[in-house]
Amino acid sequence: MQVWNYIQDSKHIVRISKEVMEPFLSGEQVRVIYYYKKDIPRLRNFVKAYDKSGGYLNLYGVPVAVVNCIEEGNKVLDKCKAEGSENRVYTYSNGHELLELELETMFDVNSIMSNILQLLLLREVPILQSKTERLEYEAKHKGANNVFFAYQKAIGTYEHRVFMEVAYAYQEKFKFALTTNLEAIDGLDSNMESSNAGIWLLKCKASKDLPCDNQKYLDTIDLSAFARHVKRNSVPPVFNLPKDGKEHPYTPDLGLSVVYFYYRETTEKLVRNMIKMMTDTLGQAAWFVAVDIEKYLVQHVNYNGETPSVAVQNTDERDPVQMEDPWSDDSVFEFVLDRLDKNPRQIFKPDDSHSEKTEMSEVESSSSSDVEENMENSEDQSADEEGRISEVESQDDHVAEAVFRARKIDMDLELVPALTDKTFPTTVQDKNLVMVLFYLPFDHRSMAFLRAYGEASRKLENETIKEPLASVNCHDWTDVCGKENITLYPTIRIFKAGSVFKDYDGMLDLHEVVKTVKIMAKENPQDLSTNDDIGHFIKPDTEVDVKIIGLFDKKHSSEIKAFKSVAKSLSDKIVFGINSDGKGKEIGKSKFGCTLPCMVILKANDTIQPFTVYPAKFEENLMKSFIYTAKLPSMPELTVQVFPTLYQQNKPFAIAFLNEHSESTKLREILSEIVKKQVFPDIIIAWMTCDSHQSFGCQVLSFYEPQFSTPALSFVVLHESKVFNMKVDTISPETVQGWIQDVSDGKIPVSRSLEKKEWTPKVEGYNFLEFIDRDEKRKTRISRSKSEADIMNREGIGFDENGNEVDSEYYENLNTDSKEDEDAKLDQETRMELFKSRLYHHAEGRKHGESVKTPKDEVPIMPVEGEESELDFMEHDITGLDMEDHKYKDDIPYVPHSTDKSTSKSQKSKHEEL
Amino acid sequence: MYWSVFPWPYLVTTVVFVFHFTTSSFPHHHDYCVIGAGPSGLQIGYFLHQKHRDYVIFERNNVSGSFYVQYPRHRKLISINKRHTGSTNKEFNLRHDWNSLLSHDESLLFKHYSKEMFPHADTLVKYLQDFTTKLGLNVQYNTEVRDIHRPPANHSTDQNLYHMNDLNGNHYTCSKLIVATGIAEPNVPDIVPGIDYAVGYEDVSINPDDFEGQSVLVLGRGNAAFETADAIYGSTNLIHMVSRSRIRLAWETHYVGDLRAVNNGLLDTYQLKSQDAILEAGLEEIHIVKRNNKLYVEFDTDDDVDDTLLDNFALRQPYDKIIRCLGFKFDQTIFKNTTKLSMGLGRRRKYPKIGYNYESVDNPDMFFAGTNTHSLDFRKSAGGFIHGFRYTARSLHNLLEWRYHQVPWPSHTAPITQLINTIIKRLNEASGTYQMFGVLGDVIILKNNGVEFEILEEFPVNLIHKLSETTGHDASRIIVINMEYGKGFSGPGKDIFRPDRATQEPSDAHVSNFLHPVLYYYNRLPTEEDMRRATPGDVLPRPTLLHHIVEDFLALWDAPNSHILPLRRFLEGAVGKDLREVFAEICLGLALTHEALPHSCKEHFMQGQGLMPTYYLRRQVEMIQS
Repeated sequence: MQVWNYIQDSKHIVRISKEVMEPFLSGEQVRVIYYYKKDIPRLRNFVKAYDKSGGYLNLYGVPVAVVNCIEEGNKVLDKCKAEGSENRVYTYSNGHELLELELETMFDVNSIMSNILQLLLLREVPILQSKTERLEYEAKHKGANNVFFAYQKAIGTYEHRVFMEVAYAYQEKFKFALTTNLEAIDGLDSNMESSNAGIWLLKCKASKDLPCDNQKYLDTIDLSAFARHVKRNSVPPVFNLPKDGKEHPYTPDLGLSVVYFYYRETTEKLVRNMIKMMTDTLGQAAWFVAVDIEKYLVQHVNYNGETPSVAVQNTDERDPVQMEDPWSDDSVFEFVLDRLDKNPRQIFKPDDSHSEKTEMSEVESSSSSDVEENMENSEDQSADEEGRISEVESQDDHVAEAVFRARKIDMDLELVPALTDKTFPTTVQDKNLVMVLFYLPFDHRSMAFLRAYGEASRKLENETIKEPLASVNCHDWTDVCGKENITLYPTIRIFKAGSVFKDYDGMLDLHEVVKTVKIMAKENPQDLSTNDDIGHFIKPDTEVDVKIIGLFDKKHSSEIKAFKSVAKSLSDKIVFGINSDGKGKEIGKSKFGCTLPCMVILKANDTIQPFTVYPAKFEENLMKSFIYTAKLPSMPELTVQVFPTLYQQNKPFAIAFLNEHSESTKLREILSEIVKKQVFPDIIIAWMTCDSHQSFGCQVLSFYEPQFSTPALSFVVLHESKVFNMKVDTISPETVQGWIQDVSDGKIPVSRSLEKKEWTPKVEGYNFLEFIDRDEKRKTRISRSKSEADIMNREGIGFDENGNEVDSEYYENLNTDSKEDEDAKLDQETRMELFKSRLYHHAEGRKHGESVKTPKDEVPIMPVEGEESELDFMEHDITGLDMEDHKYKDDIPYVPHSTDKSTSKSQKSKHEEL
Repeated sequence: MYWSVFPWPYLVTTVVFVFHFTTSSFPHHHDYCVIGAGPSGLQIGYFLHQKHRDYVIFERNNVSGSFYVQYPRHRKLISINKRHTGSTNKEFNLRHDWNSLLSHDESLLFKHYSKEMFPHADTLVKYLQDFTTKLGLNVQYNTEVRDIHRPPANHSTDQNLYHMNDLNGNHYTCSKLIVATGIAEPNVPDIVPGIDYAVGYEDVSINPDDFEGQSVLVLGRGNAAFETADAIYGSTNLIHMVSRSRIRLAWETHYVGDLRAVNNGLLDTYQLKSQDAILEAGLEEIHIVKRNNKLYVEFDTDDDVDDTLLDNFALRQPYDKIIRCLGFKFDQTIFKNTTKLSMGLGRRRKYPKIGYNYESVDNPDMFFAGTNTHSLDFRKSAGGFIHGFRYTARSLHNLLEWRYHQVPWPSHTAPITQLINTIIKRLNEASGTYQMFGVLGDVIILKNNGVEFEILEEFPVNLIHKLSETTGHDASRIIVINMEYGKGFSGPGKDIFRPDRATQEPSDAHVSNFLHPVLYYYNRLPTEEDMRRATPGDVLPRPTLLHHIVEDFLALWDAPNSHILPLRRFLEGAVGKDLREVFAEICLGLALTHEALPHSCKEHFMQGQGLMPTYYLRRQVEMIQS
C-alpha cells in the first residue's frame, strides 16, 4: 500500500469520496480525477508528478483528485467498476465527463500539465492538422487578432507545456493554436525536422493578405523567455503620452530600454517620422514613448523642455538621459544607439534572417558535403568555382555596400521636392535660390549623398529661404537631365534667379551643403555703409569661419569692380562685405594696418593669424588664388576638408600628432610660434589628434612610426614619398625648429617611405570567353552537327541554316559570300526527299524520326532542373554569408572617426592596411 | 500676264544647262532627295530638317504614309501602342511605343492618337500627316519620280549628281539620294501556273460575306495571310493555308515580322480540328487549275512517280477561292534601266543590296532608309519596322553628317568614374539599342589612358572596324555594348517556355536566353579581316574581354550585386583601374600613407569633392568592418 501512502502524503492531490463527488464536479472549471484501484508499477512516478502538477494547476483553477476505489463506499462508482479505469485519468467539467487520458501519456509534470491545459483550452488553443486548417484559422483572425502558432513534435512535451501555460495566461490578448503536423507549418520555416518545437507570431491583425506576416520566435523555449516575449508583444511598441494613457506599460522586467521622444504640435511630425524610422530599423530592441509635452507634465529630472528631443532610459536607470546635440536624423540615431543597453550592432543587423540562414546553412552544407564525399571527382573544382563566384560577387566597394545595406531605411526627403519635366523649369524659374541635385538611383555615390542631402534639407528647414534643395532623378527624367547636359552623377547645380549660377564643387557632405545654402542666402557682398556695419562685420561669427572685407574709397572703381566680381564668383563659399566710400579707412588702419584699397581675409577660428591683408594688385585672378590659400587656417588640423587644398600647394608637411596632455600642448605652442614667425613659409605645419589607438591620427602615425608615443612630429614629403620622424625626447623651440631645418636641409635620413601600391583591379571579372569556349567544347562533343530536320524546322524547306534559299543562284554566289560557306555541305537530295514527304505527311519526323532530336538531347549543357538549381542558389547564397568575415579585409580600409569604438579585430586589419 | 503661264524654272533650266552645269544651276536641285514620304522618309527628313540641310521628300501620292491608306487591308496595325509602362522615362517608354517616329515634339507621340493597343491604320495616316505638317517637313506631294540615274562623273563637271524626272516632266537633281520607298510591290510568283486564279492580298475583299460557305486556300503564312484568314474564318467552310516553311510564331522567334499572336486565331481552329488547316509545301511544285468553277491545286508529278502514291495528297479537295498573301518586294521601276541595282541573296532578295552604312553597293551616295534596309537584320532585329528603322534612320543621318558635313557623330565625354553609371543608365532606358539589338550598339571609346571615355550611342556595330572614319572620333580601345538573345534559344518549334529558360546567376550570364546586355572590350579596333572572320552567328569578332550581364525578368539591370558589381569588375579589367568609390576619410588616410591613390580618391576627394557618409551610412560601413 505504499502508493496510497504517497497519495495521502501528497500536497496537492484532493482525495474525494462518493459523497463529495457531485459538488466536486459541479464547477465550470475542469476537474481531474484518478480512480485508484490497485498498485500498478508506473503509478508511483505518476503520483509524484500528479501531485506536483496539482500545485501548478491549482493556479489555473484546476483541482486534481483521486478516488480510492478500494474504499467500500466508492466501489459502487461507475469508474471504479469500469474495466481498465486504473490506466486512465478522467477529466470533467460542469458535472460531465470530458475526456479520458491514458496514464502512459502522463509520465511527468510536463505531460500532465500540457495535456490538461490543452484540454482546458481545447477551444481556445485549437490543434490544426494541416496548412489548409492553419490558413483558415489565419483567415478567421485576419484584421482582428495576432496568433501565436506553435509546431510541437508531440503533445505533452516541455515545449508544449510552456506554450500552453503562456497561452492560458495571454488568451485574452492573443489567439493561440498549434500543430503537430509538419505540413501545417509549410511556408513558415522549412527546417523543423530536427527541432522539437517552433513558435511563430502570425501578425494577422494588421494583415490584409494571407498568409499573415509571420515572425519566428528565436529565443529558447522556456517559460520565462517565452512569457516575456508574449508580454512584449502584448504591449504596443510605441506608446503615446497622454493619448494612450497616463502611464506607459514598459516596465523594466520586460528587459528593454525606453526611448522617449518629446514633441509639441509643431514638432510632432518630425518625431513621428523618427519613431517610424527607429521602429523600422531597431524593431523590438527598445520601447518608444512619444510625449506630447503640451498635454502631459513631464517629470523627468533631466528633461529641459525642448522639442523635438529624445531621451533614453535603460532598465537599470531611474530617469531617462536626454540628448544634448541638436536634433537631426543622424544625431538621434547616434545618440540612441550609443545609449541602448543591448549592443546596437547586434540589434542593428539589417536582416534578422541572416542568423537563421547561417544556422540553416550549417545543416545544409553538412548534409550536402556528405553526399559530395561519396562522389569522388570534381569536388575541388566545384569548390574552386564557388570560391571564385563569391570572390567576384562579394561587394568590395564600401560605398556601394553601405548604400545597399541602408536601403531599408527610408531617407528623409520630405523637404527635397523631386522635380519632374513640368516642375523643374517652374521651380528653377520661380525660386531665387535653389540647388538641384541630379542623380541616378543606381549610382552608389549619388545615393550615399542623397541621404545626406535630405538631412541637410531638414537642417535648413527653419531658415528664411524655403526649400532651397530639390532633386531630379535622371533615370525617371532622362529628358530633363539631357536638356541640362548632365553627364556627371551626382551633379548639384545651383540656380539663382532662374539661371545657372554654377555647379556645386564642394564636398558631398551634409554640413558643407548646409553651409553653402546659408552663405548663398546672404547678400554677397554685404554693403557696409556705416562704421557700425563694418565693426559688426569684422566681429568673429560662430556660423561662418571665413569672411572677407573690402574697404575702398570712391575713386577705387576698378578695384571695387574686381572685388565685387570676386565676391560674386565665390558667393557660394565665403561671405564678403564691402565699404566703398572711404568710411573704412580708419578701421582698416587701426585693425589691420592697411590703407585703402584694402582687402582682408578674416579667419575667426585661427588664433595664430586671425586675419590676412591682401598684398597685391586688385586683379580678379590674383585675388582669387590668394583667397584660395589664405582662407585656410595657418596651422590647420589635417582633415578631409582642408587636405586637398593643402596638398595642391605641393609643399612638405610637418605634422604634429597631439593629445590633450601637456607635452602636446607644449609642442603645439612651439609650432604655433614657428608659424607665427613664418620661419618656414614653404612647409605646411599641421596637426592631427592622436589620443587613442583607434583615432585617425594615431593610425596614420602608427604607419609612420610603429612604436610611437604622443606627441610626435613627422615631416612628410608626399610628392617624394619620404617620411621623417623626429625623436621627441626633448621638446624645445630650438630642437623643433632645428630639426625641421635639418630635415629641409637634407641632413636627416629618411625614416620610411610611403606604401607603394598600384590601384589596379582587385578581383578579375568572369572570363566569359573562357566559359563559352568550355561550353562549346562540351557541346561539340555531344552533338556533332545540327540535324537537317532542325534546320528545316527553323528555316523552312529549301533553305539552309542561315535562312538562305538553296537554289542555283545560291550556289553561284557561294564564293562571294564567305559566311555562307558551310552550307555547301548540306545535302540537297535529302532535303528534297524531306520536302516531298512533308507534303503528304505533315507530321514532324514521320519519315526521318531518327534525325529529329528531342529537346532534351539538345540542351545538355543547360544547368539542371528546378530542384537542383534551387539548391545551387541556396549554396551560393550561403557562401556569400560565409565569406562575410573575410571579404572586407581588403585594401581599402575603413578609417573610422576618432570617436569610434571599433573592435580590436578591425583595428588590427586597419593597422596592417595603413 | 500671259507669259506667266510658262513655268519660269523651265526657261532657266534650259539656259543654264547649256552654259554652266553647276549644282546651283539646276532649278530643282537639292543636296538630299528623299524618295517617299512614308515613316522612314519622314524620319530621315526630320533629321535633315533639324540640321538645316537642303532636302526634299518626294511623295507620289497626296498624303504622307499612303501605304497605310491601303494596308494592312483589315486595318488593324500590329505594332504595339503601349501607353503606360509605369515609368516616366521618355526614352524608356519608346521601347514600348512601336508607332511613334522620333522628334523633339512630345505631342507627336502615338499614345496621343490612339488608346488601342493595336490601333487602326487610319490613325497612323493621320499621325504621319501631323508629323509632316507640325514639324514643317519639306514634302513635295504628287511627285512620282522616275528614271533615277547618275551620269558618269566626267560629264564636263566634277559634280556627280543623281538625276530624275517626275510624271509632269519636271527634272530634279540631287547630290545624295535617300531611297525610302519601302517594300510595297505585291510579290506574285511567276513559277506557279494558274497563279492568276488567285486573288491577291492587295485586292482581296475585306467583307466576310463574300466568303460565305466557301472553301478557301491561302498561300502564305505571314501576318497578312493570317490577318486575312482571321477576318473570314467565321464565314468559310474551311481555310487551308499553305506555305513552304513552318509557321514562325513571333513569340517563338522574337522576331516581330513573324506571325503575331494578334493574328493567329486560325491556329486554334487548326489544332482543335475545326476543318481549318495549315501545311508546308513549296509553290514550285504545284499548279492551279480551274474546273467547274472550282480551283484545284495539283502537284507536279514526275513521269516516273506512280500517281496512286498520291491518293492522300492533302490539297486534293477543290477550293472556291485562293488568296495570295506572299508578301511584298522592292519596287525597282523608279530607276532608269541603266542604273544597276543588285538585290540581296536568298530570302533577302526582295531587298536591295546595301552596305552596313546603308549605302547602295552599286551606287555611291545612294542610301536606303526604312524597311528596304531590312536585309541587314532580316529575321533578327526590328530594322524592317517603324520602331527599328526610326533608329537606323538616325544612324544613317549621323553617318551622313560626318561624311558630307564634317559633323562628328554625337557623343559626350566624361571621366571614367562615370563609366558604370553611363552604361547602366543606357542599358535601362535606351530604346534604339533595345529595338535594334545586334545592329545598333553603344560604343565607348577609352581615352587618355583610361581616365576619360567618350560614348557614341546607337552606332551600327557591323561598322565597328570603320569607327574612326565613319564618325570622326579617334578610337583604338573600345567597349561595344550590344543587346543579345541567347544563341539557339528561340526559333520555330523551340520550347521557349521550358523550365530552364532563364538563369539568375551572374556567373552563368553567358547562357542567358532572353535579351540581355553583352559588352565587348577591344584593346585595339577590330580590322575588316577580324570582322570577316567572326564566328558565324556571332555579331562581333572575338574581343579581348567579354562580359554578359545576366538576363533579368524585369529587363532592369540595376541590381547592385548581380548586375553592377560583375560589370564593374569587367570594366576595371578593360580600363585597368580600380573603379571603386571611396569615402573621403579613407582617401585621406591613404593619401597620407600611400604613394598613389585609388582613382575615385584622385577624381573626387583630391578635387575637394570627397564623399562623407551620414551617420547612418557610417554605421553600415562599421558593421561591414566588424
